[in-house]
Amino acid sequence: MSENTKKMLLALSEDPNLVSEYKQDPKTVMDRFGVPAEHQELIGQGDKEGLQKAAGLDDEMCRLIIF
Amino acid sequence: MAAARLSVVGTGIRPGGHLTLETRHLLAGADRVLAVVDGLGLEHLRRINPAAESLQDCYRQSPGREASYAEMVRRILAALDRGGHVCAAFYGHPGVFVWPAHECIRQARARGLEARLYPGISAEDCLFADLELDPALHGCQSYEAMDFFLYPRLIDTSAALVLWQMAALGDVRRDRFEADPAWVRALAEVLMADYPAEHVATVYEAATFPLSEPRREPISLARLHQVSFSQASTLYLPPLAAPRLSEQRLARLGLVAEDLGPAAYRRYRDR
Ligand SMILES: C[S@@+](CC[C@H](N)C(=O)[O-])C[C@H]1O[C@@H](n2cnc3c(N)ncnc32)[C@H](O)[C@@H]1O
Repeated sequence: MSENTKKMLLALSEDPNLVSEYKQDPKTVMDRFGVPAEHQELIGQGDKEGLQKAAGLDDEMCRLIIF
Repeated sequence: MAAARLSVVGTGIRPGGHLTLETRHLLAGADRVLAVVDGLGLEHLRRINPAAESLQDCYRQSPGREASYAEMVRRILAALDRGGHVCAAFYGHPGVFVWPAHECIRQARARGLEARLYPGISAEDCLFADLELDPALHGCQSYEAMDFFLYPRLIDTSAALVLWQMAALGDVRRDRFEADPAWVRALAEVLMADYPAEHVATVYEAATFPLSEPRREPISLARLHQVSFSQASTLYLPPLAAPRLSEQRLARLGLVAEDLGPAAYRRYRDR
């Protein structure tokens, strides 16, 4: 698990400008947040579950039905 | 400790970005925060208030949905018993398709406590943005999918139709989180009494994870049983046609159609 990966995900989920910047140049944004190389690879492969686990955000058991 | 009071807040669909400022303040100042959100959502809440705890385990402790919801309410009320400001946070809008949110407000009030519900960004709000729809154009009907199937309503095909909780369709005993294909087929048949079989609906899922895109999967009613529904799936049916102007209603006021001034939205709708 990496605190930096988590920080980047939290920042991306708040800021559409950062998302735009990321889409143009993911490597620069990931380096700025200090995302470790193995996580950069997961992100590059679009492995959402892998990335969630890597950031310590496991949603396997998460429920959304509340009515 | 100050007198017990309850704020029920919504964290929106996209964790972080959808939190309103007032919700952020309520969370930051709360003595206790109990939340039904996803992993990233909980992480955001913990950064605002380190005391935030998840209520997701209520689903694991209890066998069915009813017991899980009752357990959520019990935990929120127990937190109130200890006094101070309690924030119950639900993803989305806390008052939209969320049984325990309204129930904990009722129970807190019954105990003579102050309780208030604050708005949040709902899945339907995201649907309007991602599918670029304005509910003013045709009107919009919104139902819980299984309730809509079990308790027939008058369907207005000139308005949009939104069906929530598709994943709970066919959950007779209220303890599964997967749609039953037989029920999906039956729902499609009911809809096909009013819409043509080739009417194209959209399976919609707003993106909750950063960098993900929303799911906008078109599917005809005839093939509805072939798609997979997740717990985040909402079904959207576009209107079949524009509504018809009532000459009769105009006449009641001594008017005819030509008296109506130009309206860009009506031209767009009738095109
Ligand atoms: C119990 S309701 C809660 C709704 C939530 N309170 C809100 O304001 O959107 C759960 C249903 O909301 C809809 N929903 C939840 N998350 C969604 C998403 N990411 N995209 C589309 N619909 C979603 C689905 O119909 C799902 O089955």
